[in-house]
Amino acid sequence: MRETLVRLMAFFSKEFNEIRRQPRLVLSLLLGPLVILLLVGLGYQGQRPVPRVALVVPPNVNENSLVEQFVSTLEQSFTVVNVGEDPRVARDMLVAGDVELVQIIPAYAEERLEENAPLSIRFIYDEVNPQEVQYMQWTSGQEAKALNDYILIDSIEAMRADLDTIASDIDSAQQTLNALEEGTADLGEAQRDIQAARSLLELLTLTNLEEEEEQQINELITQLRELETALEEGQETFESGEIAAIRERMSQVAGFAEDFNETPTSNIVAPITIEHQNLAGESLSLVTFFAPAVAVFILQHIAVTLGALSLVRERMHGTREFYAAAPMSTLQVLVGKYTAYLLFTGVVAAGLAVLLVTVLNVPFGGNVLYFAAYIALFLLASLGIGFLISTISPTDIQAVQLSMLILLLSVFFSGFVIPLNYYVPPIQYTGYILPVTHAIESTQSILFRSEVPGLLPWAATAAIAAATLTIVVIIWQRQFRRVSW
Amino acid sequence: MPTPTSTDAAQPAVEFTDVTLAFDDGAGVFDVSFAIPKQSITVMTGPSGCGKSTVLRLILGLHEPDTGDVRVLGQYPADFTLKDRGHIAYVPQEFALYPRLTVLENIRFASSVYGLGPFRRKDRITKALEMVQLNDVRHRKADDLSGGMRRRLQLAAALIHDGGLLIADEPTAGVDPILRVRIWEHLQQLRDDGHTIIVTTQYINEAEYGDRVFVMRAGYLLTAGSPEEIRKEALGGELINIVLEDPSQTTQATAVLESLEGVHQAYPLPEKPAMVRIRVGDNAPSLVEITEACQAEGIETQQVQPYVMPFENVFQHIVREEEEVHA
Repeated sequence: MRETLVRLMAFFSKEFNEIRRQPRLVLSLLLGPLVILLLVGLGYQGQRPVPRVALVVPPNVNENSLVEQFVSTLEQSFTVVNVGEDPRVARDMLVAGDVELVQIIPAYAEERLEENAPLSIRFIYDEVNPQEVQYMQWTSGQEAKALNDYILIDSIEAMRADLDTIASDIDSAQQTLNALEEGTADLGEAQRDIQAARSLLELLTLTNLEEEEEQQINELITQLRELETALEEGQETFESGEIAAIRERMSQVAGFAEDFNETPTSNIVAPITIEHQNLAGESLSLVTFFAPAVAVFILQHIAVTLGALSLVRERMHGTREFYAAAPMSTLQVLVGKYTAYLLFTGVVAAGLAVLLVTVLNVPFGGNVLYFAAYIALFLLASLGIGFLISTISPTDIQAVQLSMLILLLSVFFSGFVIPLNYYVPPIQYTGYILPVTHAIESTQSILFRSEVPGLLPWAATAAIAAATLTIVVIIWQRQFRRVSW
Repeated sequence: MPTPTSTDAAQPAVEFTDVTLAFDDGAGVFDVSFAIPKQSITVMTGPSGCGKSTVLRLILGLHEPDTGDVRVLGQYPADFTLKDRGHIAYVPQEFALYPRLTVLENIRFASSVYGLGPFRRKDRITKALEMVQLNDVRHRKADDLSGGMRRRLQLAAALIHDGGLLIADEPTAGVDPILRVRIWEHLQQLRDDGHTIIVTTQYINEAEYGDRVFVMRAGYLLTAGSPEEIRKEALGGELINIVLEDPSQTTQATAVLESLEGVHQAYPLPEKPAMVRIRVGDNAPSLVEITEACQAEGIETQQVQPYVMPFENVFQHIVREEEEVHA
């Protein structure tokens, strides 16, 4: 036992001394991650830059409220840098990179809208990035929706202005009905009053009435139409009961118009609103959310690289032959190395955790012991992958190349950049063999939700650590006592 | 720690019986048999690629023989326990320590691998570094040492744990002649303290330091024995040089000396006109008898003394004979 401890300590001091004798390596391993994390934290804006747009307004489009509305809507999502008549100038600006988008309002836009003809606005961009193309299309769609809303609101406001006169028009129609009942009405004038009242009632049917109200108005319209027909045919006398029924219904219907005018336009155009409730609490900034993921990414890369270079260098130094003849088992050599690297990467992890909390203000809601225990397991798994690379790499260059491949694999399959459920199921499993995939989930659970990570991350990370250790021991035992030249 | 003798003191420390190990490129060792007694120095010599290092690796269990048996300290190397390995110290041919560590850190690491804690190793480290004359540079990084210094550091690292069986693959390569003598003296001291030492060397003359010498060539063990036995076997007896007062009597002296009983051959040396060399067997005349025999024929001698042929020349004899046999 004492000799085993002496050996473990020997490896720890050996690895520690080797690392500290490489100041550039120490700088890149310790300061590198800190600088990267700081750059991400301080430099990330959390939103894409606002695209610049050139708006083309044909000469036959009057610079009236429609154009103003175009510009006003555009400015919600874009920076309008130019408004002109010539599409070629706008296109040149696009090609030169002065704007990201050109919008062309079609000729006779107003007239077409007034004629209820479809109106198509052209959006031109020069983009190969599919995400940017999607963004342009989405933003343009939002703009079209905003414009359509504007036109709808405009129409409703116009209708509301018309309906403002309904009370006086119905009052006038009721007086006409009284005159008809008494037989004193001018028939031509009566016909015009009745017709005006009916038109307003028809307009009223376009509003959001209840079924019963709509039915009453339609019946009244029918009655008025019949009255108009009778007047047209020159009828001069009317039954008192019939006129009274129309008058009474007219009084009721006048109230519906008042209800409509009192309803806010927004309730009519966009009656649905959204309320949010996030059980996880207040939403985090993007920097806060991604910082722990970046930290575990860095940790995995350090651990994999250190492990990958470790055994390869032993082979290159020729020390493997020394170990092969020495009274040490493969397991003792590996445990010695694991311990040394675990302590070293543990110190780096502690430094990163302090940086996250103190400089980047990442909340630390969970239990510190669980956090430390999980990170230790995660580092063991990452070192295991590194040692595995080391056993199969003949040179340190190849070991570094394979470490970089693991980094690349992690970028795409850890869920850090692209969520794992975006992949088809068999490919998703690629992510599960990477410690960083589980570490991202676990650190977010501990830090942001104050929860202990679920069984899957613990079990999966432990399985990666155990599997890599077993494979490394088997391969190394084969290579260890059988030296080939 | 002397070589373990718990089993049988007469049992060889290392025993090879008809051992063959052939590599894909045709190199290897072939049909090698020998026994190395405990508490002895065995020097393996021969040209580069002759199979010396392979023999050492077979002893350490780093290779397994294709055929034949290898027994080391009574065990098959493949069955070595860690405790068994603790009895064996090894100096590899290539520098196998850490270039970024200092001399002291390297030797501390090597001693820790053998389970020596800080207190037990302190004096041993000082002694080992003094022996290899690296005490003054103990804080220098191994990377900054010369090739010879690295070999010495390697040797010191192997000596530190005091294993009973020391196996050193060319420990004196690149070491200056004065220090080489010191190293051999230290190895002899270790032998006297009860250790068994197996050393390979390309400096064929260093075979003289061994109790037993193995001469190898192309994977075959050409001959084995004490340096004297090998010299005798190779040369067909011992050599005596006779320096004459008068160089013109060389031919006469050659005839006189060849006629003496026990003298197998007498011949003049063209590069030394006044010298005649004789090769004698077991019943050789004494030096006085040789002098008197010459004087009786009127030939005055300046000097009559045994000639110890450098082992390099002995080796050439052996190789030449081997080639003639094969031819």
